[in-house]
Amino acid sequence: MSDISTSPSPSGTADSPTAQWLVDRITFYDQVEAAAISLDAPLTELGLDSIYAMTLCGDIEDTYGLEIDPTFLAEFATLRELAAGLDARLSS
Amino acid sequence: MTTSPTLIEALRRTAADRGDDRGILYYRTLNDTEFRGYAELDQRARAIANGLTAAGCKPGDRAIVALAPGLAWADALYGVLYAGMVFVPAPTAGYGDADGLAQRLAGIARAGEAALVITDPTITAVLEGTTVDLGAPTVTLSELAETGTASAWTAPAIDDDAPAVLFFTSGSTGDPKGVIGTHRGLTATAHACEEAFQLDADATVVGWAPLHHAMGLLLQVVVPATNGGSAVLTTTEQFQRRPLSWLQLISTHRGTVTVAGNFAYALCVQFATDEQVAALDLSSLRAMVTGSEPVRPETVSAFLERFAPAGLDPRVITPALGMTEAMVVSSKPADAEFVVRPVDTARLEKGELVPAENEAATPLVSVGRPPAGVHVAIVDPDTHELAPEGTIGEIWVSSAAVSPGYFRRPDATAETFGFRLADDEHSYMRSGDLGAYLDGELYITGRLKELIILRGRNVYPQDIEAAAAALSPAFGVAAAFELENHDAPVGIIVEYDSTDLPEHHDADQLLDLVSRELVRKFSLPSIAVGLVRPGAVPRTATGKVRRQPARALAGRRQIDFLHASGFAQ
Repeated sequence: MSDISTSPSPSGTADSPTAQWLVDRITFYDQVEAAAISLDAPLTELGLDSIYAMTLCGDIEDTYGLEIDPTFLAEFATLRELAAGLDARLSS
Repeated sequence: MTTSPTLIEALRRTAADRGDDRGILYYRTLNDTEFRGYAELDQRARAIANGLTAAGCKPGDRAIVALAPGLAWADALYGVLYAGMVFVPAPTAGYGDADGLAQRLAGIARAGEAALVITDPTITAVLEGTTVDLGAPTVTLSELAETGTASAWTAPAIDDDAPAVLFFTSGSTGDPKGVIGTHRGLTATAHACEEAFQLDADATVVGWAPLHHAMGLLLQVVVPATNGGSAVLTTTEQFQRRPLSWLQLISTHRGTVTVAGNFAYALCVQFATDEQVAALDLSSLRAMVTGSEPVRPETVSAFLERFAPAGLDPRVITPALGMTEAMVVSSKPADAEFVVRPVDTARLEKGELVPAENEAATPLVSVGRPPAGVHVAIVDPDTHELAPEGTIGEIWVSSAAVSPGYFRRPDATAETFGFRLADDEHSYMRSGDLGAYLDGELYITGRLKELIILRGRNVYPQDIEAAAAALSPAFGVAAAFELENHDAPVGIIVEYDSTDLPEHHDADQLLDLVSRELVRKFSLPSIAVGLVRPGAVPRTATGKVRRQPARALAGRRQIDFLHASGFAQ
């Protein structure tokens, strides 16, 4: 029997701190029910309208020092993908 | 009758009195500022106006102005005014691609019968590659400033009745109407703001409202320039990135006046940390105007509580009612506490405003009373008779700041302006807002029009309905409306006839498509979608969609949904 706790997550690595931070921020924005927020939920269903998308950009800038726009956010389908995109920028 | 000065004379006087000691400080980002003293603004305006004249423009011609956010908006405004022309601002954000922006500009240029379109290198770059013809010649603001000479400028032959601005109603792509603002009307607005918000020569306005709409342009540029006060401004985007930066600017620059919609106050409560509050000093404020959307009592209470440690005086919160067609209509008087009145909920639904006597109460925030020279009447929308005290009616406004009407739209103008009451010599504008007086305080209770307002942004139901209908040949008539007591702020019901669709179409996928597309297109947090049988959307005898009944039925799940997501129960 396979041990579920050792199966790799879809991206092949453990969830990064960036991913967890994103979930925490979206939960804090409180625009959708907490149960609807997950790393694989569609980004378009997390209540990120034009204001909160911009606020997320500001939070990312303040926390990680990356200057990004809502157009950058629009390149990703889920928080998991966005976290990977941010991590890639941070390590380059 | 004496004429009032034009906006040109007002800025020239401020520039003569204050030189560059006073002016507008603009924060492009938190670290990148630019200052425009009023003397410099006057000089740039003269150069640009001279450039416009050299380009063949005449007093009365309309100039569409489409610029990236910045001080250039003030330069362009006064440059156009100094040529005796009409300033027509166009929003430039959120149009997606070159064709989208070009179509929006072409629509305004056509509706405004523009002589030319003034842009900048940023907007020119966005428009690169579009095949859409703007319908008027394009020139950049810097080209105008370079071809014109400030010292060669002469005052245009206009008086205060001349149109100064045209504000096109935002959002509705189908039917943009240009609200005319005359020099006299905007000067009267400056006087009203001096009284209502203490926006006088000693004021410092701090704000981030967009300069292409009336509220931002008037309160943050025209009124300070006219009255001689200072302005500290930043972009809407800067506020959205960091809501607290708004309050930090007020604190740093000892701001005395600011204006924003209820959503902005709620955002600050949500995002403020204790460290940020401890570092703020909001004691300089005399008026924090809350307008452009309904003021929620719980937001005001939470804001006052959260920022009390920062020295915020509760009397500073100034609920107000204003609109592009009439500017300042009503506001809480200075030095008065703001008033929240619990009214009887059941009587409210029946169209009466009476104090509540038990817990079935709806708390309403008063928007105070009209400033001097503004007449407000509560009128039965059907009979055009004054509504008795305590009966809710349509808010009618008469003042020197009321617009003469919609540009070249006599029918639309006649539907909104020029209304009379028996034994009353005033000419009234119909606001489309419903309200009533109670013990001398004005309360807004609803809207006759079906406009959806999300965080201060106008969203037109007909635009949402048209976008939904375009998504599938199986879709017909639709009704879109605001929702309450739902997760989604907006709902839509669409008539659905699947007869011609392939056998194995998936209704859930269709619902998902509609939801996703509308959320994306209108920047909605979410939307409730219901598909109904053809003929199920309530209509008038002439076939016009009735959105209020649609909203009532859908909201209470009293309509037969074929498929739905997001509606209660």
